[in-house]
Amino acid sequence: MSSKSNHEQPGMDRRTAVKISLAAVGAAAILPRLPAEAIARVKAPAARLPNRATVVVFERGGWDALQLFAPTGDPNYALKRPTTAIGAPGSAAAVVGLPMNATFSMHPALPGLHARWSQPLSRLAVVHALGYTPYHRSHFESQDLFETGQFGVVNADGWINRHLQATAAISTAPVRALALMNARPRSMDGAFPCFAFSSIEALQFQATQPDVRQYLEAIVDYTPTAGFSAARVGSYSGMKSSFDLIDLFSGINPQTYAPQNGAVYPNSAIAQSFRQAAMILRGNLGVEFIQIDQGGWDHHTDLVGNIPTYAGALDGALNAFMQDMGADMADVVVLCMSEFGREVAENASNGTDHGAGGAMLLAGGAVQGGQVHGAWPGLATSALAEGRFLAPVNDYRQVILETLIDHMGGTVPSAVFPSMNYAPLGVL
Amino acid sequence: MSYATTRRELMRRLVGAPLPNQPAGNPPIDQARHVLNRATFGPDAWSRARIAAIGWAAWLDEQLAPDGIDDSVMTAALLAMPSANNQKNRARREYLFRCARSRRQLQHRMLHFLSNHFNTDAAKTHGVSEVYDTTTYTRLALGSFVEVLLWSAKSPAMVVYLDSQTSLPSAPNENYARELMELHTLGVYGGFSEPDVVAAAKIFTGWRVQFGPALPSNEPSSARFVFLPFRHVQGPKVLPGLGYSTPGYSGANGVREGEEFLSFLAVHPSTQAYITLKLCQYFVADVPPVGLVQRVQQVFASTNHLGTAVRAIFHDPEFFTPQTTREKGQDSIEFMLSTLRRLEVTINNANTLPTLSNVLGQPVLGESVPTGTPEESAAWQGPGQVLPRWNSLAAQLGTLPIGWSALVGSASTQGAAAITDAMLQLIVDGDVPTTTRLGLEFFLSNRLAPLGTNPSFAAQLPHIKDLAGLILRLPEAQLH
Repeated sequence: MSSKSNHEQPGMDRRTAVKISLAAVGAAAILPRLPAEAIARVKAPAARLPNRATVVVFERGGWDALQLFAPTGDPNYALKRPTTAIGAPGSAAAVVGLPMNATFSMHPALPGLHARWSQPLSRLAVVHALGYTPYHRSHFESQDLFETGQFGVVNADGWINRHLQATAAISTAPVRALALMNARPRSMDGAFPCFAFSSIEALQFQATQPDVRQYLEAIVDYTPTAGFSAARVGSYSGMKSSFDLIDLFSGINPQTYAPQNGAVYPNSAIAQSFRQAAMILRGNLGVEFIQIDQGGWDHHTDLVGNIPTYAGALDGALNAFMQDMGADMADVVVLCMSEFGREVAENASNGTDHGAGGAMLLAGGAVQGGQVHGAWPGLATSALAEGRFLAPVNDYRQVILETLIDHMGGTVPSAVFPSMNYAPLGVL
Repeated sequence: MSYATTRRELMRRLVGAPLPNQPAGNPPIDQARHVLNRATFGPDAWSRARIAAIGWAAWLDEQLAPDGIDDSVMTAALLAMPSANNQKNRARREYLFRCARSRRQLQHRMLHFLSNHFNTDAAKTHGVSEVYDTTTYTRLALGSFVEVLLWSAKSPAMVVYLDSQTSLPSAPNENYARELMELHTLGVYGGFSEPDVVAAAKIFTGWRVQFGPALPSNEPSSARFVFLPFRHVQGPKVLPGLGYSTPGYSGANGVREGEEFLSFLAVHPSTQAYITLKLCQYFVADVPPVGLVQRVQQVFASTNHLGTAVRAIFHDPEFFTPQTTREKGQDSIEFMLSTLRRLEVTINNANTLPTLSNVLGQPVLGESVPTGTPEESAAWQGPGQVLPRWNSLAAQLGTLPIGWSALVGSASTQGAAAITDAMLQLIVDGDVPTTTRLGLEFFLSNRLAPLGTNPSFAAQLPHIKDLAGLILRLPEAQLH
């Protein structure tokens, strides 16, 4: 994935940034406050975790929302997917869905999430026919647009970063956002320091003797980088961040972390990332945003064989996370999003090509669960974009803004998504 | 006192106050050194000696005609390797071994470029032709772009990876058609439209791989490209965005549609601009000088020849600027290869190379998305890349088969300063700030102090190894 600048704040080290934000808190009276529109409208019970948090799962490759949350009640669905359509519950189809409502059925590889969907006071919801217009059917363009939310802007900051910039005064935590992956995702690009590392286990310094670290750290920290090029500064910044992260996370021991409520995380990569997210959120570090990627959704072939693998991994992972977090899920919202949905008609490889409208899966917090939110344009050919794609009538940015405002305690919508009017769908 | 201040105090104690500022002005550029950094995966003794003997321009021309360079040592070592347990593992280890040990370095730098540009993922293809692809991309690396493009389109790995293999006339699979235009040729804003993707998908129907009988693991793949006329969409195809159409050949001639379309794309101005920019990013800088890019693009547009374009890059007046020397982040495979080459690490078991690339976070031939890995330095400089480099290769340097005595040479009897300079020269061409050099010298002299005067080499060696590991962890050692 593209990552325009992985280094943190050239010219200003993170501690300076922390100091400035500390100073900002002390001087709050004379600093501009968040505008009235950003005042929290918190609906969930009192916080149990030290802070509210959002876990973003980017489902890379363009997941087939019409397989995962299948519109089995729409007669056009089976017509356009003669080989791969999920059958309505109780039907004679080879693969039968789990009931969501009169229109939709959940893929049978999502049994854990379906159980959460079905329970009273459910905190698991779907926004279908989700995307943006004009839509883009390139993976990389569309991922960029999803993660930056700024169209036609070269090197735009990510939406998480812009939110953090807009709310810099509310937290003094040294790490407000991190990604459990090798490189910082586009959503976290920008001036506010955000961090990426593959796992907590990676946050260590191995050497024969302690003086190796001592000297390296002194050299990296001391060397004046003024006049260095961006690439060289980036190398210094990445190393300073590495030392900082080793120190900051030294109190969390993945070996001894015990999931609560009998939760058992499967061995999949996505489940292990959720496990790390849980221990970070419980680590009292003030982390507000954690992004995880789940890749591999580009199923141009064999939906019947492929979807259960990826859906099953997500089901096991998210289910374990929600069980582990238990009552603390009231303070955590999970947003699973993908760059687009797929073409309504299947292709000859029993797969589907890139489409437009997709879906977002939401869990936790005060999510109004057990519901498919947003408008549903249907699958009649006349209702499809270009006659081929589910129309992306529900803007993903509205869901993000609603999460930032109602769950995270407020934001400045015009700063996060400029030139867009906030019109919440009521998912929270 | 903050932690940062503590560090600063430590440094002040190390080097003595006040600290010297960086010398004003730009030091002269060592041209041979810069050429070696960009045209090889890091200089080894052979390439240093060769460029010193004939000068960088002659050295470059020699590299641009790789068949004239005796590479028998590498080839013999490759042949002597025990069987790999499958094609995928064989492809992965051969890729890295060739890049590390071939004397035809520029050719392999282009292999690294092309293999990433035409990325396939061995996890999806099961190594169906990656061994063959590696040798073919290497062979074509400095030649005509259209030849490389035509090969990539028919490479069994590509046919499987981007799903031409399962495309049918009834509903053609768009995966290859889209990525061909967006990633391999025109670029995302190169002028193609959505209807072009649909039409191009029809052009490539019938492009398939035929799998032969299973072969012993050390044999090249038995998979072969085939064109199946009965799987091909008949009739003319129209690409309105590109203003391109095909006459619609029938029967076995249907494959010509795709070949002609690829030839059209290969010389399209958008393709020339896109390939030129990527080459300049790869060899020069994340943001290469505009004038340089324009001049190289002129050369590439008039020749469509990769080797000529590469030669134009290295001969461009803006290639040797302070803004471009040691200002390009190495990807993790480049970091690994330059370490192996600069320290002349003996590779006793090539199977360990792919494993190391996994540990470093860049599994060779294992990038899953068709974009390949990013070119920009920033993508390789975060904690996600830094920490595995520190904790694997740099931390384990002391355990690798390295001829330390020869590397340190006569400096070993001349004290900490001389040893520090020798190791700095070897690993980062001595290209670090003065304060860093001083800090390293203090590190080593502190370590050597308890050994008394005239310590033996054996007594010094653990500390020299730690010094080398420390240098390998420096910001400058991540750049080239």
